[in-house]
Amino acid sequence: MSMSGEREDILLQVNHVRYKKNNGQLYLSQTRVGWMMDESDTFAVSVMYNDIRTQKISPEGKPKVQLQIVLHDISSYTFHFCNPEGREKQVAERNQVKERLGQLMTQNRRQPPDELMEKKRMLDESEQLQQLYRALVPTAIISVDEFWKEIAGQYKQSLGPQLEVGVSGAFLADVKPQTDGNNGKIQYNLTPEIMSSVFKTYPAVRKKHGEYVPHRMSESEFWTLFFQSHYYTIHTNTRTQNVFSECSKYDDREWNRDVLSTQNDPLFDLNDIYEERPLTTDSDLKIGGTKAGSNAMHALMIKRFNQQSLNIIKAQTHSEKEKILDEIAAKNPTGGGVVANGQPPTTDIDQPKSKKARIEEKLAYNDLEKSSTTETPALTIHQRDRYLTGPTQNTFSNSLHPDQVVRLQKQLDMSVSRWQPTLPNSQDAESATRALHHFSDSCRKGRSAVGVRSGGQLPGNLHKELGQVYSSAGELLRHFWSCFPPRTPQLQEKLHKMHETLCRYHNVTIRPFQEMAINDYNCNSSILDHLTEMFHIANTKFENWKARNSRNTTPANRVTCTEEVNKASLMFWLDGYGSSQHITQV
Amino acid sequence: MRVDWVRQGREGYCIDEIIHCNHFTTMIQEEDDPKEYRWESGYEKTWEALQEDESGRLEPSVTEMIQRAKRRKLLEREASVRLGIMRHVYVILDLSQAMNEQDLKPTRQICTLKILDDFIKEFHDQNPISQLGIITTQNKMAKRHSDLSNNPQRHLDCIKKMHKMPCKGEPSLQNSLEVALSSLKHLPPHTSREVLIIFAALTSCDPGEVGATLQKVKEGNIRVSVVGLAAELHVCREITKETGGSYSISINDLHLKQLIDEHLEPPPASVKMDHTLIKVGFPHQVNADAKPALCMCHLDDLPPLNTQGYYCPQCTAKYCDLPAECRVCGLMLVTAPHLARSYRHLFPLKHYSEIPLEESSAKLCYGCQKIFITGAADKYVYKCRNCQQVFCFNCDIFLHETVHSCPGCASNPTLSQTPTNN
Repeated sequence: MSMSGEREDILLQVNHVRYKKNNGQLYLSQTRVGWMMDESDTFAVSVMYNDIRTQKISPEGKPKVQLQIVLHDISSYTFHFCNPEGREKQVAERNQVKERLGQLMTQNRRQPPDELMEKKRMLDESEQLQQLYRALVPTAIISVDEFWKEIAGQYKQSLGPQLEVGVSGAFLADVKPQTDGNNGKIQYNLTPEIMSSVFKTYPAVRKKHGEYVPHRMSESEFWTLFFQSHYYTIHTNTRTQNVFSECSKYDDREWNRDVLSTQNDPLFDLNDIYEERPLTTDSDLKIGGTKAGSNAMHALMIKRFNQQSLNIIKAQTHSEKEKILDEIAAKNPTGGGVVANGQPPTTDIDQPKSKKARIEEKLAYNDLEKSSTTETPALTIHQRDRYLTGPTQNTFSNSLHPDQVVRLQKQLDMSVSRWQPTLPNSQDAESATRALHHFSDSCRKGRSAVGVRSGGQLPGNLHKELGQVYSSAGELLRHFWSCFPPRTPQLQEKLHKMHETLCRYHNVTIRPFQEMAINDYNCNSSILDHLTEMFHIANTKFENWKARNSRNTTPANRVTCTEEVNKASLMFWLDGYGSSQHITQV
Repeated sequence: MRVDWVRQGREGYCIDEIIHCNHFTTMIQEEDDPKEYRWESGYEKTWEALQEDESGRLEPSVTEMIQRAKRRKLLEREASVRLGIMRHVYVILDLSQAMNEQDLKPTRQICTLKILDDFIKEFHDQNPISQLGIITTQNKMAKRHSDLSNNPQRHLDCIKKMHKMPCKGEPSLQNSLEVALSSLKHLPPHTSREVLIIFAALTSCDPGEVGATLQKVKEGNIRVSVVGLAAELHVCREITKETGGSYSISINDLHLKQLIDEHLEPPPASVKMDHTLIKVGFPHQVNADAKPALCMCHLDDLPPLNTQGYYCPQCTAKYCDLPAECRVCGLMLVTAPHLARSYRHLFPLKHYSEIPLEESSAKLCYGCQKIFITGAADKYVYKCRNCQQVFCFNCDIFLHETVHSCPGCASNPTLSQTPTNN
């Protein structure tokens, strides 16, 4: 097995590792682990992390310090650490390798061939996307990368952002255990949602889960222990070696820290909790105050409840901090997100509000303040008349004398009352017959009739295919039109590319479709007229823009390669559809 | 039952009136108690203003009260404020467990969906160049059911489907705002971006800090308003205060309808909104040399190949219905009457002056020819300042809300021909 052509970064290298009685070195890279014999330059052993099922180490007592990698297909590789410096060094090296290997394995496991799966999933989900893909990519009208970048990118955007789910306040209470009457067994219903809520709330449990499952115990065992532990029941069985005893220590430490910070806050008045309240006499009732925490059992329960609530709130703010750190890391990919002293940069949310700000907040009440009026921009209408009447021509400036008006009116009345129709004198014969012919031609051609076949309707298959052609053509045209007005060089480039794509589409899809329609289905050629007109208009727009642009730019900027394509396509257009088409200038 | 506080709403709307008319019977019992001093009660005895009409029903007086409040609100609106007429509105509907409550009959969910149905139809009627979208939130997630579009049919179909959706889980304010933000932030700056949240729950389960999302919403210049069904929440109050929206809680179904219908009117434009020239296409329906084509709006359902429809003037794609946004070239397609519908904001009908019946000499209402009766119903009549015609209360509301022009001014030949400076 030889190393792949690409250079892989070696993350860890350990010398003095024996495999099958040969001395050599062990290498850990980003995607695989390899072993090379001394004085050789090819890897004798090379295993991808994906193939590794688990790793095992030799127990403490054995003289040999070994590490075994077990693959999915049961085969295994055993490496013997034999550093001449001594056993401690060997053990240290072996542990180092084991940890790193564990990390890399989990890392790689979380990234299966994701991209391909996701693309496949997207195509399965949306039939439209699938059709577009089939129409555009195999026929080489648009390259695969472009397809995924442009068209699928828009589809993904329309799906909406990826949303996370918050932790509900009572998620543990929703795990309602059911008792099985016969054996006294208790059944807990766990859903993946509850599991993820537990992981978000208690990061210590998540770590434990990563360590224990699936090597040391199965999922169900882990969760049974969880529910028996202090997280869920008040009575903990301290005798058994509990997985979660470490977790409880960690939780207690965090709890003490939080309580301290709350106690030290001067703005909180916590006297009631920590001091005895005197007995107050209030109209015959004696209210006895008890010091909180006096009853040990209650105190423990209260502390557990408070811990859980605090952890839920922290889970929220923690995820927000992570998101912000992610954003910062995305902006400086060189790892500038972590400042030199190891602390993450403080953000707005982190800054504790100054004492003054907090006091001011407590003093301000909405109702007590004057209601502020927001500034609204005023509406000014210029030239009011233009809104009410449309553009009119110049009004006739010279007006008639009122007597003239009266006389004209009388004349009009008389001629209207005396009018008789004289049909033979209305129009001369020639123009009448011409008009008749013109009208009957238009009627025969018809505006609403399809006139494809004698039936008048399109056959089903043809109709469907026509619909598909329309949708893929529409998609391409949409990308074309979105480039206007091309202000940036990227848009201009895209415009050129889209124009080429449209020409190609025209050649590859539309012409054959037209011919097929004529030959197979025997319909007249007008069914794709509208679509070709759309292409024509797009082409004209492009030509106009180019002409305008080339007038402004120097010859050096002219893109010459597309000129050939344009000339060909222009001639092509005029050739095939040479009938007089009214070209509308856009 | 005592009402210990009376909250005067910000809009000058006196909510105590409605509370008292609902609890009419209990109030009457208290009135009989002679020992009650005036200073003990914290409210006015407004039930005395209520009267039963001839058939003994209280509802007409309740509606009248609502109408008076409406009139007060109309008066407040100034005439010469620039409004954002091209609106992009997302309605975020809470479909969590709290919507199963039955304090609005038959359940909150069904009552709200019915009101939304009417709202959608009215919205597209009154704002023809605006777009509406629907998002729902339940189970701590938010989902966009219907994208921003001009076409009311799609939204109405969505609402019909929602009648059958079960309400469960908790809502998430942050997630729903993120979904709305993801599509609103790409819009051009001259449009007015709004979000209307109809919230019934008392909690919100969010994955992170709502404050961060609120910051993004503010930067995106989006105006968030909330109509609550249960009680006032601090988080909703914060969100609406920061973004300049309105927050109100509904008391019963009539009130809910009125609160939601308040959002039919375009809001005042924010100072940050650009004003630019927009390219608009006016397609003609009758096209002499049109070629048969498939329409772009129904491509999935295989429309017939014909020439019925409107052709986009820029790219000649065909559409069945206007207003629409051309899917191919992005041009906005409207007809002139659609644009003219927004004239009522540019040239609104001036308010009529309210005068007592005794001072006016008119015997009939000019609008409906009703004879004025001296009494409670027609205490005040309304006179147009231009044409001096007198109208009754109902006609006044009708003209100002629906018709937007004065029949007196329109039927007066001298006034209608020379446009006066209103």
